[in-house]
Amino acid sequence: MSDAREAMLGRIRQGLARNREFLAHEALAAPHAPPPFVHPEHDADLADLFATELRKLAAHAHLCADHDAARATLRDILGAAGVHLALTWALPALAFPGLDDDLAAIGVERRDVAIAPTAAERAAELRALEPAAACISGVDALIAESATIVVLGGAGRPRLASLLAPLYIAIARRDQVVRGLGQAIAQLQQRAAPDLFAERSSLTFITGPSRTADIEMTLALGVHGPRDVHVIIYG
Amino acid sequence: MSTSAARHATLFVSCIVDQIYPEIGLATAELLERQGVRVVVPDGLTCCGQMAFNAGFRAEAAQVAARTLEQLRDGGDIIVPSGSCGAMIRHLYHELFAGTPQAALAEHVMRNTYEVTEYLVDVLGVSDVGARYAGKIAYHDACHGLRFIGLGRQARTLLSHVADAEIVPLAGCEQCCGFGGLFAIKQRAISEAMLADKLADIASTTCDLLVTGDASCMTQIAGGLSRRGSAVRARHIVEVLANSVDARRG
Amino acid sequence: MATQSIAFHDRVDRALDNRSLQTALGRATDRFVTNRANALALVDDFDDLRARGRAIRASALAQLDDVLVRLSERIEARGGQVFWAADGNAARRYIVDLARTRAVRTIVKSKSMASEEIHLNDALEAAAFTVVETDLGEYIIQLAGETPSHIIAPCIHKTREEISTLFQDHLGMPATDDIPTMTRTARGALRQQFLQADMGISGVNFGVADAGAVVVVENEGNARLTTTAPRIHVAVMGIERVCERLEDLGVLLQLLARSATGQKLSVYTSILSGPRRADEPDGPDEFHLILLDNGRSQIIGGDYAEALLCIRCGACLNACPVYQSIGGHAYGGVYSGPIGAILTPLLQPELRDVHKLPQASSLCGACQSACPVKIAIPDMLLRLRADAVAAGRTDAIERIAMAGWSQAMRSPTLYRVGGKLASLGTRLLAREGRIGWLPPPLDQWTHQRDFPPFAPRSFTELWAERQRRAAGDGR
Repeated sequence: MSDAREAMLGRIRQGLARNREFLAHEALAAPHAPPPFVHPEHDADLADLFATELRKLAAHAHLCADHDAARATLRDILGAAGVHLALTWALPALAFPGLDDDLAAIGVERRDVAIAPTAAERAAELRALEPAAACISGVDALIAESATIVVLGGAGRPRLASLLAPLYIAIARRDQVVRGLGQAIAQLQQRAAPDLFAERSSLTFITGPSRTADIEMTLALGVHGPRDVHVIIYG
Repeated sequence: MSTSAARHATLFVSCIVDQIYPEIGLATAELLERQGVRVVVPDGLTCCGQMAFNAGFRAEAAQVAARTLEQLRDGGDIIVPSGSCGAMIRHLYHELFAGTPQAALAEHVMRNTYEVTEYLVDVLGVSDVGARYAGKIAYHDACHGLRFIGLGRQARTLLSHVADAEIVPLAGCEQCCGFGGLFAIKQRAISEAMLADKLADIASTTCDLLVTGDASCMTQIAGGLSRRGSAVRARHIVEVLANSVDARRG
Repeated sequence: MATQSIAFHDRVDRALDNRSLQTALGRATDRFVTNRANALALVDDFDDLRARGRAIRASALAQLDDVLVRLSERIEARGGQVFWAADGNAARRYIVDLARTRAVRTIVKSKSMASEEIHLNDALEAAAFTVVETDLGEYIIQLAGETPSHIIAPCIHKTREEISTLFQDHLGMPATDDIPTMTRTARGALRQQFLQADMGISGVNFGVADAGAVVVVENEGNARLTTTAPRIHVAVMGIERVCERLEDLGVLLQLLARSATGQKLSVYTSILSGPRRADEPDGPDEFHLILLDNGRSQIIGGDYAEALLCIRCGACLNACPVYQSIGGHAYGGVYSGPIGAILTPLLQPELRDVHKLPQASSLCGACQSACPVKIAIPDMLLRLRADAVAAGRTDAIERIAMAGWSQAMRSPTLYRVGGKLASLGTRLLAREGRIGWLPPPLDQWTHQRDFPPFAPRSFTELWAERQRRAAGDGR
């Protein structure tokens, strides 16, 4: 295997001996730094901007004055959808006090995700989670100009809690909203320096409901991932 | 006008204009002269070499282009009534002559070459050439001029000052007409399909005159219009600007 | 794969004769072009973003050896495995062997051009694994036994009626052409596959060297499921699809989404760094990255290195009037459209008529204008044409014509005489100032177009006369 590696690297170096100058010249032709955001800046509040952009994607934004209002909104969404089973981030990771009580009060069973490594157990666990009508996660940032939810993986933060069910609710604090993707990436790297992936295997950007236009370019939502996306922003 | 009184320019009409559309060459000369530019046409100019270059025959293209370079060596400003030939000289001579003894001469000629509407508007600062056309004009942006020289704005400026003319918008005006040199022959079916789209766009306007800046695209579009019995005529922009549209044969 | 066995011209004719394909292509490419234009209009300075994207990609390629070493070492440090595949054969063998050793039965796949390029599904199916494409468009193509025709929208050549029939036959769906119903049907069928699959195979949009991560971009969520639910994730990446730093994504993802579909960002961007960590509740237990060379290390030292900057957005396809007319299958290879006319001859040189692909361009330049990393596609098509000539892959008649042309254009006498003959001949053929028929091979022109006769007197002659007259007038 290392032979193949060395042979490939050898071929690449041989090629670069001829074209490295051209490529290096092109590499210097412009700065590499990402702009913090790409749309023209304007005065709108970032949470409002996020909400406006999210609604354009046929998803739902809920701007709540405080934690209590956010709890009420969450109960309303789950109640209106008739949810009985929800899979969520672990409670410490969610850091949204009152969630367990609220779910119990409206008759929603909350399920943590814990996929075992063996094939049989994995399939059984996935089958048990699949009927969940809702999934609930926190966020690591919201990007206003594209209405993007940013979620890091890690302990207590299952990927499936933003993916598996037809209804997805993300809970965020107002101070988590940034304007652009460039800003969001810089912030994440700063927060988890020096190695963002030391303790996690995934970083996911979610921008609206799952969608496809594969059949006759006609938009259809919820093809594999969640069809109904709600973002609750409070504080 | 006084600012350009001392100018002289070399006119390189292109092979297709020389042999098929001499009136386009004459109209270009007239337009320049009316702006006080003294026009010179070197004897024996033929072709920029694009047809062979585009077909992959670089040796043949280089032989022809090298001769053309020599003839344009002392030409001062070089004016071509074609964005395509202009793009060949300005964009592709660099690659064609890279590492050859003519490389420096090619760079020199490239720097001095202008497409005619670009020369009128951007160099001479003219926007009204005193033309008149009583009818409706649609403008097609020929690809090479549009994308490799940045033409379009200049032609629209000049056309907007043509007295009595109404400029009507053309959907897909930046979409290729399907000419593409030998492409029109070698990929006939695709070329025809592209032309059909262009003709449909033209038919959806109220224009009676389709104007463009390249004789080659004009040949493609005119050939399609006349085969379909359309009343719309296709003309080169210099013919409109030099008031020679209705003086022309056909 | 039927498209590969017939000649290029036949594939073109077949595409142009297909009414429903023509309608679908027109609708799809129009929509993509409009959505892209709308998205770009919102951006402060898209050209600046393009310039940055090009510089970022060029920088990664300029140090590709180093970048790949960094990427692979970091992935290995995270518990992932990296396989350096010299060609498709090596990659196929590694994945088949892996599936065998791990007692895999079902494999789910999310869209991957690289795995199409090496015909991975054929190899896996030959080894008796069940392989399920999970991108809706790819799934439809798989049910139909066809190949994708567009990088972003693989089944734009199929109508809803055709798809309905497929779903009725394969999935037992009741007769309907309601698109939401069809989508739900596919979701249900594919969900069962995700739950039981042992291995997920994905493509890679970008490998990020310093993060030790791969980026998978999509809209449906099938790639997230593919890379999360099964216990083994295999990512197949062409070695050129790399960038150096995570922050590079702040440029590249913005360019990709807007150029591909006109979205500000695609719905899902998964940045994946090895297998799940010990305390992570889900994700794959094994992560394998296939670094696929398959000719790329040759390209990087040649005249077409710039083509490796491509981020596979499909904008050049949508912008191309030739692609709009003939669609992806006519190109015969995995990569279609203008960039495919460059990549296919380089990556799949064994395909029939592959040297003719660079001829399938009017050189209008719309591709380069649309390209988010400003690849000089027309210049490279011209170079490929020159290569074909240099290799002697041209018609004799063309060679003779070009030699004659070159002679005539360099000799004033020949040029004048040739012009006179052409003028005489074309005026004989002309009726009412236009020519409706020319002899072969020029009959290709007059098939649907008239041609003008050459002028009785050339510009050169008229100009000389004008100068004489002016001199005579004493001007």
